[in-house]
Order: sequence, then structure tokens, then C-alpha cells
Amino acid sequence: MLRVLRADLHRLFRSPVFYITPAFMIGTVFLSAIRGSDVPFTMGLDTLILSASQMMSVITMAAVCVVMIFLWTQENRNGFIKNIAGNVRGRHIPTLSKLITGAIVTVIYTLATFLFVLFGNILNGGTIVKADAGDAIVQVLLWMLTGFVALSLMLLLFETTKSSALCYIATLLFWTKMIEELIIQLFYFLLKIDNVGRYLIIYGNVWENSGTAENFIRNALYLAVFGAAALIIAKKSDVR
Amino acid sequence: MSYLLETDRLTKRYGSKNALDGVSIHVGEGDIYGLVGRNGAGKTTLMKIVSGLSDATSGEYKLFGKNKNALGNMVLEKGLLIEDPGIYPSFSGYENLRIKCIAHGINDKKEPMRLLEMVGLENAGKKAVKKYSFGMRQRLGIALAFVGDPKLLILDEPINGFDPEGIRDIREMILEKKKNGTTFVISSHILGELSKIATKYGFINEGRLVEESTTEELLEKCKSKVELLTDNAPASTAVLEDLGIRDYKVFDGGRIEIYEAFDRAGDITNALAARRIATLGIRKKYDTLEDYYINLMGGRREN
Repeated sequence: MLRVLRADLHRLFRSPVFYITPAFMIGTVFLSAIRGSDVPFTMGLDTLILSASQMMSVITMAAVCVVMIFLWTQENRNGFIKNIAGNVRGRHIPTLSKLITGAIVTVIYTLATFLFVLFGNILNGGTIVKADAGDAIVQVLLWMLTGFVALSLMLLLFETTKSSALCYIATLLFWTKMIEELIIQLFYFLLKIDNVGRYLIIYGNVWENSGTAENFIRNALYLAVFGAAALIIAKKSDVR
Repeated sequence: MSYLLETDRLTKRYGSKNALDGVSIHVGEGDIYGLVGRNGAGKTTLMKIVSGLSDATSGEYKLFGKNKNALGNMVLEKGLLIEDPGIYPSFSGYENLRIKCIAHGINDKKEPMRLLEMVGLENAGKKAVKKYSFGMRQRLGIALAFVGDPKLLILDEPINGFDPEGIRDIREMILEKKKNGTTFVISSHILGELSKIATKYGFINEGRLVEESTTEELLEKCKSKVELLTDNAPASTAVLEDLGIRDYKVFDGGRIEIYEAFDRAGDITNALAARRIATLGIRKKYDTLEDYYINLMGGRREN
């Protein structure tokens, strides 16, 4: 597995998309951070909190999904996956490598965004509300975990459908919270359940009464389920 | 006898159709095994299964004497080129090989260059693959298959898109590797070319293995016919029957192919003359591999 992971990382760091996508991402958060907290946010948030803003997370994690979907589909579309899948002990190995590579990209992009928000805040005279360092670390870790969850969901979708278009659309619908909003409304109107948001991924993270431990456990469970499902499907599927 | 690759009644079903139906092939160490069949016969399906890219619906196969789940690191001992070469068009030939080398656990940065030289792409290694010609891409695909110097190469139509010089180069490379003990499973439509290198053949039709023969056995079968041309084919067949010759086939234009009694050409012409049937031509003929294949796939009419 490590051989395949090294090959994936080698390709990742030589792919222009790995650098171009975060350039837009970082540019957005950096310029927003320079503007500071006295300007109403276009994403509809009241305050940009240095520890972990939802906007930062959405842009960062969406960027991760976009980059990884591009790399996965490229490998399948041009058939290079045949060169890998024929020399591993199971066809789930390349998929596991993709998941880990995505996790590494998540960490890199999150740290990069965090640093640029920090830098932007210094430039705007420190007007952005700062959180306690401990809280900040916890929030960043939570949102990174959420990013892994989203990535594993997209990977599951990709392994099932092999459709890049579907995965890009799902990324958009997921990170704009449209999917979760739809689920919440359906549960309310059909079953009169109005707290299903607590058990979802993004809404669950900001649910009023959900504690930090609950958030981590919920995300970890989603990651386990989506990740395992993606690996099982990959193992059973033929390489086209 | 132990084989490097043997399959046991491999079957692959898609819906209600069997793309592969109970195929059992036997590839010995050092063989160049030619897989022959029409488009859609099941050659690529078989190659994908033994390459690990696909699972069979039923049946088993052994590679290097081991079941597929017990191969361990032996998975690295096979190289494959299945259908189109899988390459990243925006990367150079060198980078494509480098990625495959890393995935194979080979960290030597000179190895991709060595492989490029082996297939005659040493001057194109730094060029993006999207600028390669069809033949160059195919060469790169072959180079990718050779990463790690595998013991078994599975090549699906490897000489597609090559000019005669390129075909010769690939043929010589395969024969050179064979001297070092590499085993090949090669599918090809260009039977004449395959016949120059193959040591064993598997003929596949509609998902089934029709025949498996060594080259020696095939040569024996191919050099077996007398072609007879007369002005009255029906009467001629009666003469053959009277002579006790049963294995023959009648074609349009009075042509008859006889698959036995090769040393009785004189008896045949005399008997025909006695019945006032003109012999317009008679000769011993050797089947080419194409002729044998077409007869085998089409079926020979037996009397």
C-alpha cells in the first residue's frame, strides 16, 4: 500500500491542479481576512472567527474535494489505474491510497488556509475575533475530520458511479449544505422530526446542544461507514 | 506438469451472456502463448481476469503455482498491457514511467530512462505524451508493462499501430526477453506475426477455448491438405467416396480440399480420368495459421 501511496503523492505534487485550486481558495480567505470582521460576510456569517470559520472550512474542504475528484477521474479516464490495480493484492488498495492522499491534501490545505487567515488578520490590525488556542485547535481538527468525511463520501460516490460530473455536483450540493437542508426539511414535513440536523455532518457540527466529543464521534462513524463502503465497492468492482 | 499460469474453467458472465465460458489454459514457464480469436471472443476478458483487473464469475486460476489470494508480493511479477495503454497525457513519458516505478517500489530515477531506451523512446522521454503518435503511445505502454522486469507479461494486441519496423523491434524485444526466461501471453489479430514467435496457441471463440496446441502440433495440423480442381465436383466426390476418402470439403467453383490420403494423388487423378472427369489441377497445400484459424472457427464439414 505504501508504494501506491508514494506514487499517488508523487503524481499529486506534480499536478498543476494541486496548486491552482488552493490559489483561488487562499486568495479568497486571505482577502476576506484582510477586510476583517467589520464587513458583513458574503457567505452570510456574522463573524469570522480565527479558530475555525465555516466559510474557511467550506471553501477549503470544497477545494480538497475538487482536486481529489479531478485526480481520481483522471486516473480512471485515461486508464492508468490498470498499471496500478494489476500489481496490488486487492483492488481496494488504490482506493485506500486515494483516501489517505485526500486526507493529506486536507491537512495541507487547512494549514495553508489557517496561516493565510492569520496573516490576513495581522494585516488588518487584528480586528478578527480570536478564539482560545485550545478551542481553535479542536475546531480545526473537527473541520478537518469533517473534510475527511466529505471526501470519503465523494470517493464512495465515485467508486459507485465512476462519474466525475456527479461527484462535482455532489460536492457543490454538500458544501453549500443543500443536501442536508433538504434532508432536514423532508424529515420535518414527512415525519415531523425537527432535530435530524443534529445527526448530519455539517449541521451536526454547529448544532446548539451537541458537544465536541459528540461531534468527533459522529464524524468518525460517518468516515468509517463511507470509507469502508468505498473500499468494499472498489474491491468488488472490475477495472474498466 | 507445473505451469506458470493455468486457469481452471474460468467463466465471466455479464447479465445473461457468458463473455468467458469454462476456459482452461496452460502457460508453461518460458512460453510465448498466443491467444487467438475474433473481436469479442473473450481474449481481453480472460487477460483482465488473470491480470487481477477483474474477477471471474466462477472458476479459478493459479499464477506462479499460487492461487490469486496467496500471491503476496508475487503480484509484482506480472506486467500488463490491456487494451489501450493507460497513460497520463499531460505528463512526459519519463514521468509516466517514474510513477509506475514508484508504485512498483523502484526508486532508481534512471530506471524510467532505461525502459524508454528499451522501446526506442529515449529521445521522446521529456515530451508530454499528448504529443506522442499512436505508435509511440503503444511503445510507452509496453515499457510500462516491463516495469520491474516481470516474469510474466500479459500483452493485449501489443503491435497495434506499429509500422513493419516497429513490429520487428517489438518481436526482437520479446524474443530477447524470452531468452532470459520471461513468459508471455499475447493476443493478436496479426496471426502471421504471432506465428513467428509463439510457442503455444489458445484459440478462443464465443468465450470458449476451442483448441490449445503447441506450435509443433499446429504445424502438423496445418500441413495437411490436397487441393483438387475438376470440372464436375459432385461426380468427383463420388469417386473420392469409392476410394474410401471421406475427409474432404467442397467449395464453389469445383474446388475440393482433401484432408487425408495425401500420398494418393495419383490414385485420385487416375480414378477421375477413368470416369471421364477432367482434373484441372491438383496440389499439396500447407495451411497458413490464418487458414487453420478460419477453418477452426468456421468449423470443417465432415462427411
